[in-house]
Amino acid sequence: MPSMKAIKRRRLTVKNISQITKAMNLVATSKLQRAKANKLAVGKPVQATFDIVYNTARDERALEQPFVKPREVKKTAYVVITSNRGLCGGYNSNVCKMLAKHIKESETVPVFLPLGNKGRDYFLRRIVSETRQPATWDEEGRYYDPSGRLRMVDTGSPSETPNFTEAKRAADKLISLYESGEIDEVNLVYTQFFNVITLEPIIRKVLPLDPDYLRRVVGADLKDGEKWEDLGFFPQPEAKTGSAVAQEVEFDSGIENVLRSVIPWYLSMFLYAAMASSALCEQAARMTSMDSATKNAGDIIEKLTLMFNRQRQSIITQEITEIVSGANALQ
Amino acid sequence: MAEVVDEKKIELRVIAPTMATDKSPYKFQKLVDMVIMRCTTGDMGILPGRMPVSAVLDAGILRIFDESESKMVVMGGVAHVSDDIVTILSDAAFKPDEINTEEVTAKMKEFQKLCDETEDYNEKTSYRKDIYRCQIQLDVAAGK
Repeated sequence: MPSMKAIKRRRLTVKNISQITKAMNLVATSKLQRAKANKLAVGKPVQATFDIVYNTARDERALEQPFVKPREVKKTAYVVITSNRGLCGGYNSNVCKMLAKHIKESETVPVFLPLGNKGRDYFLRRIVSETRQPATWDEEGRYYDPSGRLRMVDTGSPSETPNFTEAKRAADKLISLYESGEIDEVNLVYTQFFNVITLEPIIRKVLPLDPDYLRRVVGADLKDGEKWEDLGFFPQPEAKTGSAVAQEVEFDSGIENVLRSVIPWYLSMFLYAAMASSALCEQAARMTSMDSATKNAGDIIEKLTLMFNRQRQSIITQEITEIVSGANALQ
Repeated sequence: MAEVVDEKKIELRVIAPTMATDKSPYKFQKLVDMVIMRCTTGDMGILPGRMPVSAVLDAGILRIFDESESKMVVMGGVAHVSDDIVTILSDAAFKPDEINTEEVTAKMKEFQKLCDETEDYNEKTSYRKDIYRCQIQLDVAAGK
């Protein structure tokens, strides 16, 4: 049994930790509200962008354009959105584990573009343990494995609050990689927010464009048994937005130029919205995990207090017994 | 005979995500009579009832006609017209009161100096574009 001093010290440590977790819970709660507002604000511009992209991509002439025409997929890019910091429960590990499982089942070579330190560290560790060579980056922040295959592209550490400039920077990198043929498909890996407890990591293909997915999003046209939430993070469109589905569109500067201008927007907005959704999930995960950590700390403190009191009582009882037996001996 | 007034309007939505506020997802949103925008193929005027069109925008002045004419600077992007809604996606769009003329003038002078110094044709063209972007901002700020 530990000494009273040791129990007291441990109780103090747990109490201090619980104060930190409580503060982190409060901070996460306040940041959650801001992240919710941010995600809502992103929704409409994303929808407007999707509207334009869909109306361009559904044209027959667009099917032969480089960003719409499917290619033979040899290298798949994964933009992995995670957080920079830990202490947010299973938020990061859920995303990374799901993607790792997906890659195991896929036959293409994965190329990672991590947005967030946790995801970057996880997949870099995996690649390094697989190749048994230290990671070496070129001047453009690209990491090629010893057999010369592109494995990871550095996109920097994004800030905690989603930022369109960062999303655009990553989108520009994706476009240049896609155009140069270094990647054949682009997938976003992020966490979708249903409610504070239900956070689901998902993989969504963004390039080449999938006109069927765009039609379902723009026209709110769901498949049997599909829920609106399954499509992504967008607010459900108003009724009139759906009429865009049947309209013929004129392209003032030629469909190639319109598509060339609209694709960076589409990617940036999709990334921005995914980052907003993930940021919201991060705060929700941190809030719940810190809440349970505070509760657990309270339980431990209670147990330690009980242990401390028992020990104190046993010492008092022992002292009384000694006094009584001493007095008895004197009589 | 009473004058027939066409009350049909178009909705102009300017999306510039870098400048989105918490209150509105749009940089600018208003019901207007007509919009004239600078496309890569020339100026395009949009009136109510316009058939759907998508266009690539050049850096230029967006002219908005309502009860009076107002202007905005749009630094390129994409425009889409559908269902009497004009959606403009742009990296940067400024209203006249948002333009810091001193800062823009200083930038313009800097670009002019760099343009004079360089001999490279591509760099010169790029600096000339930057100078033009500054010039349109100054024009809009001055109410031209």
